[in-house]
Amino acid sequence: MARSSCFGPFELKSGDSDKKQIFGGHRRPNAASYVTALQEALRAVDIPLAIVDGQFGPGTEQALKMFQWCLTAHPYRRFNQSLVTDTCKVTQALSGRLDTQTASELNRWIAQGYVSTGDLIRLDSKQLDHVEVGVGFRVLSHVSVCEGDVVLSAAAADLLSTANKKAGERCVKLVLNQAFRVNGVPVSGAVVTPATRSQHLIGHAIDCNIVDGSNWNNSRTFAAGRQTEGATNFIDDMKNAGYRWGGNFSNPDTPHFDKRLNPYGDAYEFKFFFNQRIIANNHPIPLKNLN
Amino acid sequence: MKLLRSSITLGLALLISACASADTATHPLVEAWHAGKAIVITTSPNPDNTDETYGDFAHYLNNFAASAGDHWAFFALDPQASPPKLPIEFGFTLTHYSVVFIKQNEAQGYVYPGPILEPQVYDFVQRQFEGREIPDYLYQFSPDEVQVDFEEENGLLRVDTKT
Ligand SMILES: [Zn+2]
Repeated sequence: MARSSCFGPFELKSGDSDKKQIFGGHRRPNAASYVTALQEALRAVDIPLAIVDGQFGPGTEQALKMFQWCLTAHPYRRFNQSLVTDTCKVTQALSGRLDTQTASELNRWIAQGYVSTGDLIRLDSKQLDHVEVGVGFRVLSHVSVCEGDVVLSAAAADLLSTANKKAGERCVKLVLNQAFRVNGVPVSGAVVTPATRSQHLIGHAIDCNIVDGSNWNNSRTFAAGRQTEGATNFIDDMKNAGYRWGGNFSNPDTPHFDKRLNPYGDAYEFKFFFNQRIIANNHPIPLKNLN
Repeated sequence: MKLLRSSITLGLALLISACASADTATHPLVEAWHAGKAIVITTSPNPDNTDETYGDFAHYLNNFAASAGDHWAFFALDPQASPPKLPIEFGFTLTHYSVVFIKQNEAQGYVYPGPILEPQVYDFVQRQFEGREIPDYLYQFSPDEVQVDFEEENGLLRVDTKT
């Protein structure tokens, strides 16, 4: 395991090599193994890295970016099989270089026994006066998740709390059909190929019906232009609050609302990896109190 | 994805039936029909893996298939397959990602014109085909009714709008 001084005094970056004694982009014949130490440290905090070989290539750069994402995207750390909230707040660019702050944080994590995780949280739908989970809402198969829990990214919790608030103001009820979605096909197989990129896969989307009195505003209601005034007002409110409504997509998806994260950016890639890993490995998911 | 809104023409549907008629006696679709299974057929052109609408459609369909049980059979109709594989003929235009529900001895089948984006649609049809009580609100999710016949002479299922 890496110790505090193992990374050397240089800003390690792509192209560095223990074997060639190149550190910080320059040849420095001091016979150290700084890149290997970095790679071992990244593995120690459970950042995926296929090979520890002393060569700072694309894999090491990507792993370092993933660690930098964990530093700045959310405060959750795994510690001794449980989850803790790190009070040390850091703003860090995803540079893929071992700058002073990244090196310091990596050392601090190892000293504290912190291990990486994603930002999934659970929200208790019973705390939401104007939202309920529908009959078809699937409870995620995960040790932390209970009946009535809605799982989302912490960064998109406001999507649901805002929807709840706006629904109350417009006197409609939201019936949730889906929030976070587990990637891949069901064990029994797939009829059609699942999508590989979606805001649901990172926990940034919900699907719901807007129920206004006895009217369920569903896809066909919208297709026929027969949605209620309450539904129209609620949707306008959500769009004004900055969220996307699927009814505006080129292929309309009227139950869908999301807080979009560019699906081709590093932040999406990393959140996808860590949040899906939480489910696959049964890592803890904290319950967030909306009040 | 523009494909979603485009439609499969009746001509294509007829082509499907013409090409498929040669070897239908043991086709799993026909077997499922005669076995009294509830059958779900969807049109499945090349998926757009980054399209949210497609993603929701695929999720709800796959989830339903995973939980529906052995009395249900699922088929994807690939309009780009050559020759087309399913021994079924539609007497109406079938839009992409439409879902058809049929079952022998039912008064009617159903077609949902376009992607199903709400699990309540599956719940409605499942309750209908399994003879279970249907809560009032679920009728708001009912797909369009269609008439289904099996043509013994050429081993084809024929689906038409209900008259
Ligand atoms: Zn959705």
